[in-house]
Amino acid sequence: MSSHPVREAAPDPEGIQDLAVPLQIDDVELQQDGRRVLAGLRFAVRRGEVLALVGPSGCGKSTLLRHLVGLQAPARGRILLEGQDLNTADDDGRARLQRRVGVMFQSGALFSAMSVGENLMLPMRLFTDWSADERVRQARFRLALVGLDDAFDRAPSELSGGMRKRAALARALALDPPLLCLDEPASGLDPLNAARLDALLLHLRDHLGTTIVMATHSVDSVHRAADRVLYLDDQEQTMTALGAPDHLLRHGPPAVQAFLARSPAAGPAHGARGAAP
Amino acid sequence: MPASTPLPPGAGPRAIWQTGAEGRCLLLQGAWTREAGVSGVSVAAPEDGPASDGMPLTVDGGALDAWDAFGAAVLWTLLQRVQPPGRPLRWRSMPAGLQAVLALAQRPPATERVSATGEALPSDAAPSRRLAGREALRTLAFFGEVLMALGHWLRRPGDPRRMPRDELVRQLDLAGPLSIPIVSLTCALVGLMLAYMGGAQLDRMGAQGYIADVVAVGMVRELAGLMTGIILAGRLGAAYAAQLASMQAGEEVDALRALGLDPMALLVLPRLLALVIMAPLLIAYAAAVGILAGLPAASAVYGVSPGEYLARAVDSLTVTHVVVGLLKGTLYAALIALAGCREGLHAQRNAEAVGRATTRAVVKALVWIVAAACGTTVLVQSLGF
Repeated sequence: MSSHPVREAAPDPEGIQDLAVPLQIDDVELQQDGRRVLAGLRFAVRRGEVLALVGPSGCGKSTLLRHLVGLQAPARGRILLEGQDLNTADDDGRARLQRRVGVMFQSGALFSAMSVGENLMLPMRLFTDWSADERVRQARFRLALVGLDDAFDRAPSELSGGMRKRAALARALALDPPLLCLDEPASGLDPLNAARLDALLLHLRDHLGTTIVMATHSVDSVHRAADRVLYLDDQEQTMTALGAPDHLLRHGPPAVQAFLARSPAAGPAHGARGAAP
Repeated sequence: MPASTPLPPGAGPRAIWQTGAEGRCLLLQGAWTREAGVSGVSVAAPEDGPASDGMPLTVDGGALDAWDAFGAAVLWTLLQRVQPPGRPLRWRSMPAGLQAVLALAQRPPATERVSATGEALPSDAAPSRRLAGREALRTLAFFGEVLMALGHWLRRPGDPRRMPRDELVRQLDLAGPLSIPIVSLTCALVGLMLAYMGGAQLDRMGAQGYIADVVAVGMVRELAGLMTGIILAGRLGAAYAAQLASMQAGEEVDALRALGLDPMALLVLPRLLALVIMAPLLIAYAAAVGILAGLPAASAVYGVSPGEYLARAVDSLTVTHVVVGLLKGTLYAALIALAGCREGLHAQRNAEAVGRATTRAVVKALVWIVAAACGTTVLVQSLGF
């Protein structure tokens, strides 16, 4: 386990007991197929911030995200969504909490048997008392937000990978959730659309107060959109840095600096085995 | 450090241990290339004394004539074996390119997955008894989840979040009307075959008149349910597994869960109920088709008149035969739906898993049907029905 202390750029402590924060992770250990992926996770997501989960491939970003939205239960510790433990809530309470989180999956995960519009309207139909016309209007507006005004009647299979991701983001926004969890939102997008997506995320944060947690490999997105970065280290199997991107770029651990600077030379050698002097 | 043993020109590659003031040194000699036969190089792990503890292991490439990627792989494998854990390596006179290639591969390969307790997990290729036990437990857990979803739906049957009605109607359509052609063909052939073969045996005793009894009781009590089950396993069990495994691969099942929806209620219940509702109708229809299909054989080959055949068929059937046949067939249908949905929902998240889930669903459904047929037959007979 890690011997590195987590480097926190902001001076204030993480305030695990603060119920005002939308998401709190308290000494959590994650396992996948019986194998420990991450342990010793302890942080809180502040309301109205964009938190980027970054780290090398396979470090557990997506696994952490799946735990945050309640798709998997941690092997140890608590994940508190708006002060309530997802894993001890009853079925109804858990479902109610989950609807407070909009999730965008890495592949988009649009329901293939439905049109894009129906994908957006499904949660509206099941969880709101909006009329059919209202659902159509709300779905069309959300599609317009992500630049897919004309995709309402199209099948997901007719969309490109990038369009599917944007449609998935629109679906994640269907119920106006206060917390958005996005898995690799920029992957598969061209640089222009990736930048537009980041601008949209900032717009959601600034104007709707949406809190956003995104797992990403895109350093550009991190620098453009993230208020804070949580670095997950695959060697240490824990978080090794948490702070503002600019701060970590200058003062973070070498691996984090290397990641944020897109420079493998600045990073540490992986293990000592066979290393040349 | 003692001087290395000189090699004659053109000598093959080798690695030898030397001990000097700096500790152990692995001396590489000759051409470490595929053509030079580097794959045959081996060296025993060093037997370090206490004096060598903590000292770096030196790899000396001063006598290396040539190397290629093949040779680099051999050397890397060899170093994995001989380098004690935690002991650093030191290069001496190594070609820069070889050093760089080895540095790229410096992370040891993950040869086995290790559980949180440090216990090695079984590989996917060799499913162990423990895996089989885990599979059985997962199946039991799946049955429990289905029952819970069924209970929730029965408490609030109108709630679309518990089971959308339009999805149930769609599944009823898929399970019922669209299955009729294949059920008709198969059960007609089975009825015809039963009449023909049964008649051959009865004819030897002059009891052709009982052909209708054999066909009617056989079809209604056993064969209509069994054949319909087999057809549904191939047609719908496979389809359910493929549909749900595709949704699993595309993270659609996760998306449902993330919306606070229960995949059991939305995906499994409509399919299960559709099959359970449709199964008795299909089985009754299949039995009728089978009995009617036996008529031409009985009448044309064995001279049983159509009227006599139909009258005997009706007379031979009792309520018990009908109820037993319908119940058994409905049980098979439920098992088919459960096998298909279980395999689909537990598929891994990749395209290959879709095919695997489909195959497993059909095999599992057929095994479950045969086991259920055997068990229910013994049970029903022992109860005197």
